[in-house]
Amino acid sequence: MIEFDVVVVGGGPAGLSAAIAAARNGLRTALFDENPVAGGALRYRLEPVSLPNGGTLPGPSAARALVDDALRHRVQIATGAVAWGAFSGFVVGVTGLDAHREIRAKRLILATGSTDLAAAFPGSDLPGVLTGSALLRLLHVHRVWPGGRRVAIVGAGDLAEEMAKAVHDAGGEVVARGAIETLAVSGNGVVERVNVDGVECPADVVAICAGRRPDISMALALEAQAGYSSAFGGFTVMRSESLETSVTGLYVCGSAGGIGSIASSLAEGTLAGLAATASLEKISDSTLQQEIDAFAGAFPDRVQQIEAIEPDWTQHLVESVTAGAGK
Amino acid sequence: MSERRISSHPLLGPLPDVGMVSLTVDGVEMSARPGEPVAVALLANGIRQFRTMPKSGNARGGFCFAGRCSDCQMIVDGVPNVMACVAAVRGGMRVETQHGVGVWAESTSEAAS
Amino acid sequence: MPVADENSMMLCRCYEVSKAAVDEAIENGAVTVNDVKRMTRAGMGLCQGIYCVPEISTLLHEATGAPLATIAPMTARPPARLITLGDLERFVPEP
Repeated sequence: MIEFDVVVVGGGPAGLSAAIAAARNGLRTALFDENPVAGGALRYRLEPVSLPNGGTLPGPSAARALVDDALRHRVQIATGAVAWGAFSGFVVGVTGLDAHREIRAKRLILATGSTDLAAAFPGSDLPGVLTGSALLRLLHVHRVWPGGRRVAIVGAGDLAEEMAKAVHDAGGEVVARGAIETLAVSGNGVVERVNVDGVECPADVVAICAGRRPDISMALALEAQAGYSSAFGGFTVMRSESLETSVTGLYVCGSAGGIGSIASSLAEGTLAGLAATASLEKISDSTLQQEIDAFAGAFPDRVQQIEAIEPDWTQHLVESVTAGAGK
Repeated sequence: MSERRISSHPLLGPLPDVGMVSLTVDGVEMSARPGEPVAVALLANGIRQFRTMPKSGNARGGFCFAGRCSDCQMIVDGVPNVMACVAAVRGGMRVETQHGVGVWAESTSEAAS
Repeated sequence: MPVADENSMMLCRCYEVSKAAVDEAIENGAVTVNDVKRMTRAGMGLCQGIYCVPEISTLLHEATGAPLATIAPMTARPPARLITLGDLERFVPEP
């Protein structure tokens, strides 16, 4: 059995920031990321990122800088490590580690990120149709085109603009842009053409940029309360001003707490890490309050949206779990 | 084949050269960068269909490329249901298109005992 | 205008559940996402509903008039990712 003061699930901008904040205050901290290299969305989003230590770097370099910082502060980082569940106490189930041991955490920070919204349309299951972040990952992390370079970008989510630039920079061509409601894709076994708003043209790839939603399944499994927020992309975990959920000792930060920006993910990560630190009495409550106030000053809209989340259906969830228990 | 790989990029720079390894896909030998996801190696070699679905028989070619959906499950070294977008290429790997539901070959259980 | 049949569109990619099948489940009395899951298998696959539940919720909202805020997502239970029985076997908390 190995116990950490803080376990962080997810090694993107929020998770890395949370781990650094806890570790630099002396907490024994572990971070698990399911990918072979940590960095989360920073690995495939190329815009410049302003780091807390004052530097500005493109996403992938920012990721490396944050990982270096975390290691320097003795965060134990495991990549290729899939945290598949957490149980009260907190006991964390992780697969992909070299040694198998029970992992316990005094405080658990979920920085599990967000997932693309999918869409169903005629031909949506053809090879060549993929999510926006999938295409960015293929182009920027793996440096490969999925079958051809003519891309139709559909949907009006936050990745759509970025996608056009990414396609051009990688040597591709945006052949169509439009709404998913008017889209039909066809081809013989692969994407060959798209029909957008009644206009047909040849295409190889269809990138769905319909928006994103927070990834909160682990928090829900721990029975954290959540509510619907259209601003945040769907069901979102309720959090206090220190980013603690309704489950004591459980924090959520980054886009897992609601779709936002890389800047807000970095800031939330730091705040959640410091909140866990304060709860373990390694920093004072007044130090934490300063950080809470600074975050509210920097992201007032986001704080307002966090405060606006109300649980409308938690009771229903409890009922359905009870009903299903007898099966 | 090289047009599918992005060898230079205005922001990412040149793609570093690495010693390529060989793998077979449905019996055909092809080369790949060691450690890259199997699905990426297949795309680089012009293969766009990874599996067929049980109900419709329709081919799928990857949707999330993040180990979340079921589009890229293939048979790797005899083991079915392997997510090709996660599994890392090793030299000598044997990859096969998965048709429908993954089935364990009898020889796999013999090899395990 | 798209020519293909809108109702054949696949909502659940993992189990190939069409929009028509989900509409039918709703006509047959499904009011929650869990109901649709039990009646069609949508959401039971590898992705555990991450790609189909928002669309199913929208269809329920349109059919029943219930606000999206009251249409609970699927019951979430571990594991959050594909794991093997071996993984579970190794995960046995010490007494």
